[in-house]
Amino acid sequence: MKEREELNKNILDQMMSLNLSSDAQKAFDRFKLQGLPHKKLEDYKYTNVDAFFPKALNIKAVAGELTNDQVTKLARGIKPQLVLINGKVSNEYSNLPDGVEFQISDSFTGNKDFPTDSLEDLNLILTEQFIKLTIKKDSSPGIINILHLNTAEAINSVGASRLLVNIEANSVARIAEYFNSPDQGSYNRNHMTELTVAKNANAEHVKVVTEGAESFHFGSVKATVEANACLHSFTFTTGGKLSRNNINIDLVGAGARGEVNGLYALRGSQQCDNFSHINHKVERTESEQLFKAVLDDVSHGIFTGKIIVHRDAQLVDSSQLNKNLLLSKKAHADTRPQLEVYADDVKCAHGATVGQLSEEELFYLESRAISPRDAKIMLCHGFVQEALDKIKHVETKKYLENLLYTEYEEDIHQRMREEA
Amino acid sequence: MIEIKNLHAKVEDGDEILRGINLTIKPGEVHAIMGPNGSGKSTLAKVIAGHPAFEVTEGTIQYDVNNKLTDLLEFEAYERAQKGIFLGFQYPVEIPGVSNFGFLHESFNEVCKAQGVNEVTEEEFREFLKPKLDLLEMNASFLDRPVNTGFSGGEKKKNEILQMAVLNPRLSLLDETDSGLDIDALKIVSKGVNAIKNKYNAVLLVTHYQRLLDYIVPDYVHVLSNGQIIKSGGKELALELEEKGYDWLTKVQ
Ligand SMILES: Nc1ncnc2c1ncn2[C@@H]1O[C@H](COP(=O)(O)OP(=O)(O)OP(=O)(O)O)[C@@H](O)[C@H]1O
Ligand SMILES: [Mg+2]
Repeated sequence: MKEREELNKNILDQMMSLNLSSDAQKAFDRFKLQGLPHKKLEDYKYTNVDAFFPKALNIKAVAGELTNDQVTKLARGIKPQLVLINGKVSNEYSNLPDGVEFQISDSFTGNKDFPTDSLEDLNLILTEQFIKLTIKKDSSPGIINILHLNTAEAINSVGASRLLVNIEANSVARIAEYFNSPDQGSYNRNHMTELTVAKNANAEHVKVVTEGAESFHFGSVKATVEANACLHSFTFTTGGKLSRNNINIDLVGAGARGEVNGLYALRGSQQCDNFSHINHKVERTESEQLFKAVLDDVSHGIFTGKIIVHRDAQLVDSSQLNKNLLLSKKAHADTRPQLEVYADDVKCAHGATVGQLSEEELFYLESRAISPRDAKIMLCHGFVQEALDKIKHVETKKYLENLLYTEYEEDIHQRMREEA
Repeated sequence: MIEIKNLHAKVEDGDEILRGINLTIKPGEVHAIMGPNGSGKSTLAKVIAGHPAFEVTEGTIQYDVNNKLTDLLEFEAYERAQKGIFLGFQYPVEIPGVSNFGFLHESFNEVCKAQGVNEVTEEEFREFLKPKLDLLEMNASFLDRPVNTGFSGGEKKKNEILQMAVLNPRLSLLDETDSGLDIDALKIVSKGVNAIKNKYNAVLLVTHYQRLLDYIVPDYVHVLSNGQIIKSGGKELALELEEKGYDWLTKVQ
């Protein structure tokens, strides 16, 4: 406990010199009271972040540049419409389609009513550029790929960035955010995305966390979905030593729908903590969730699904499922549904499974001439496909399939060869 | 084709299930194995196919590979399948998320690869499948569903014989392929097996019912009881069993 106090003091001391807006000052005051999250907090029961806030950590944004070649390499085949380097927009690569308005401001313009945890407060304190995209009414501008890249200078620092996307009525928005960096050193990324989905809009937000092996990714998606609008959220995690994905969705208009899905495939000593929180604030709102995990080695996957159905939010339909596939005896899954239902005419289903590859399924495939290695891969693909199929934007889905099936597996096989 | 001598097998930390099986099957032959529930029929089929849950504690299985009797126990299940051994499951396994077509295609190509034949593309394979589907009177829509998932009992059994037709095995072990089939489906499945059968391959049928043997006529019938073959005979033995049950045999023992 003493140690954490010191860590918190160090963070506060470093932040003293910052020039804070009034919102940031409020966040600072809250952080001062609460400090870093820790396992005694219900919402952080399984995740300790202390190790990623050492004394030597630089609590501020750092400048840095990447060459074209480096950007291309880190983009891994993605054609970006927007590139952020160390949390700052790089003008060179901005290429936003018609129907999208783009603004940068130095103060917070998002929803002030969302409750925040202290890492989210930290985000508000440290963010220097507040990026805002507006998807214009009735428009359908196609995919917007956003690359978040870090440079070597970001090692041993915490960098914050923040994106607000206003998705206007009747529009169709497809947004994918990719988080990547050269695979070296420890860094600490803190990014928030706020989405407002107006009436009748159809939005998809895909988040792809392939951070460096020693990094801590903290990410938070907060969305408000209005009447008859739909938000598909997908969180894909294969990178980072530790990642924490907060997903907070308020369904505020009748007929609003939230589809909140995810896939996390971990190995080594990786840990990924997904915390989804869906608020059914009014009647006739729907939510559907599927989170799937493939956990190898000594990795640790966590899913918490909090669903709150507010009083008078009748005829709500909500379902939640978390399925975990353990590929090693030492991999570990924690899963908790948290349902708070204050209305009475409501359908809420939830379930969770934790299991290994089935011996009988493996033997069935092997009895059909398929090698044990290929049989395992086939079964793993079969397992994750159900989750990937939730992604609406076909190219993004194909890209992630490929990422998972080639690079990720190639990596595992490479490692197996090295160990042998 | 296969020579099984004094085969003993058990599950890890379990009692012996197979207690000295002797069985020789030659190319072109059809053998039927009958016997009470729990006598070890499925176990025998799985041990031949290489199921890892069973441990062979004694005896040998020799199998003809390139005209040479070879120790089959040296090979893993997938290698045995590549060498032409096929197990039709009593309970075919459902595999959600894996498409039946992709699975059949991969399986077929693995066998092609192992036997030094060119692999086929998806399009070629779809063409190749057409007559096989027709033979079993199966709708092509089964190909695009996940393996066995949600299939009815009879559909699962047909899917097993479809796989047999695709892989064209030398030794087929069909474990209660007839159970769960209605009369029409039984005829279709039998027609399928008979169409695949020739003088170079062999079939081992596990069944409880004489009825199947009206359609797929065996050369030999064996009775397995308590892990041993206690009686062998021609196809008339099946009729006798149908009439008298197993008591008269097990009691003599
Ligand atoms: N994996 C296993 N673990 C433990 N016991 C097993 C296992 N597999 C089979 N057995 C046991 O071995 C014995 C033989 O089983 P087997 O399935 O071979 O019988 P069977 O002759 O095929 O019966 P049926 O006619 O009911 O299909 C049974 O007592 C069964 O419980
Ligand atoms: Mg059986």
